[in-house]
Amino acid sequence: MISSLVILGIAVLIAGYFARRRDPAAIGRAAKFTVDEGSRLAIRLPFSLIAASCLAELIPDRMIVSMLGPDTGLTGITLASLFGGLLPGGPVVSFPIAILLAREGAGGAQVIALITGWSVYAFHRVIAYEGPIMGWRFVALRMIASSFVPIASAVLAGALAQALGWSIAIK
Amino acid sequence: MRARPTSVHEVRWLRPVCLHLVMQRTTQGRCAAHGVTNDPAMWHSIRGALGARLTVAVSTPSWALPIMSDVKQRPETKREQRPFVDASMIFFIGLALVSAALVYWVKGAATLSHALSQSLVLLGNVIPLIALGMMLGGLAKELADPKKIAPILGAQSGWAGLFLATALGAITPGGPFAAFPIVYALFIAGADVGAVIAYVTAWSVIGIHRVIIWEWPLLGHEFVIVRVLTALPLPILAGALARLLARGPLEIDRPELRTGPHKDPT
Repeated sequence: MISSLVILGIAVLIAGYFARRRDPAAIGRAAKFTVDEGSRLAIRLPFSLIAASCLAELIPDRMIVSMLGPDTGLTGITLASLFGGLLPGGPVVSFPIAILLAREGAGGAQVIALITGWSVYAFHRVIAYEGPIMGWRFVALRMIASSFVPIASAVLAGALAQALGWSIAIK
Repeated sequence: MRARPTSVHEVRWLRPVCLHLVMQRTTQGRCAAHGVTNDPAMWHSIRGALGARLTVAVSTPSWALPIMSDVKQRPETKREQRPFVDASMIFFIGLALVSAALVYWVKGAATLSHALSQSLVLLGNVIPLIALGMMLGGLAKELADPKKIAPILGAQSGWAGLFLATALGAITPGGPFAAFPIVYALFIAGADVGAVIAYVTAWSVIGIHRVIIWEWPLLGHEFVIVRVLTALPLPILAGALARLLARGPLEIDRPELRTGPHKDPT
């Protein structure tokens, strides 16, 4: 946590330096963006975290481990990407759910499949935005063309983590 | 930029861009657009107005204007605020209350207080990270300049187009409400379908903005580095696959391209 905070802080300073050099008012706009978005999250985030931890208590650990655990391999990855696609709403829902599933025993690659499935398949987004805006033929084309993405992402990330000796399991 | 009313045909395929418009029926039985809305409830009235001879003034991101050359430019108006309390907030509050009640009922008060304290600890940990992430996201929005790359995403762009679309998608901030009008703007401007799909896939899979705000703070940098590095080639592959499919069974009819590419009059 601390190292992430330090790295993020440094990144903010660097980006802030370049943004300020380009336009001195940019910092103010970025700060306003932060306050605007943050105030919207201030109410949603606590409730979504409470909902996610309560739901995690209700789903038995053993079920999560046996369905999405690190040893479930490709089956678990496929299941996780489909489950991710069914998650409704934005990141404020999906990321707390991903973390809590990870804490209850889901594997790192399966969590990646879940997040990527949520963002690529995103069945709620397809119904609400993509279908009406882009047309269903486009949706079909995109769905077929990117259907491999969550699974490939999870498999590749798992392989890379193993090659680097890194852990993508979430504590 | 030349400003002229669009034809009925153009309005038909501009439909989604009109999501950003408030349209009103005028006394002549025609429709005119006034101002901007982010209200999805307007979709229905806009859809209802389709097919009529319309004069539209279209709201597009400023960088997209060069590729929206056939569209009459709308005078700049103040962006409307999203309501602070909306359906999704009520959904979260309801979900939290229902699931907490279920935990209390099924597992008892001790488990409920454990779950509540666990979420409080998590909240305390992520707040500073998310605040920094949002600041970084806001700064990234200031630094990214899609205006320069958007018009190059032509139909003959080849692999370079897929790379470019991927980069552009990855840096596009915001949710579907912000991204899909851009996606459609690219599409109707003649960007090839593979590039558009690479763009959507990159926006959803890589989405630097979301990575910075959510994934990095919540899941840690090792997770993020491994995931993003391995995800980089995937939108390009998806775009290439879409190109192949679009040549075969899933060809998309694009009447706007039959009359040739839209030229920027400026």
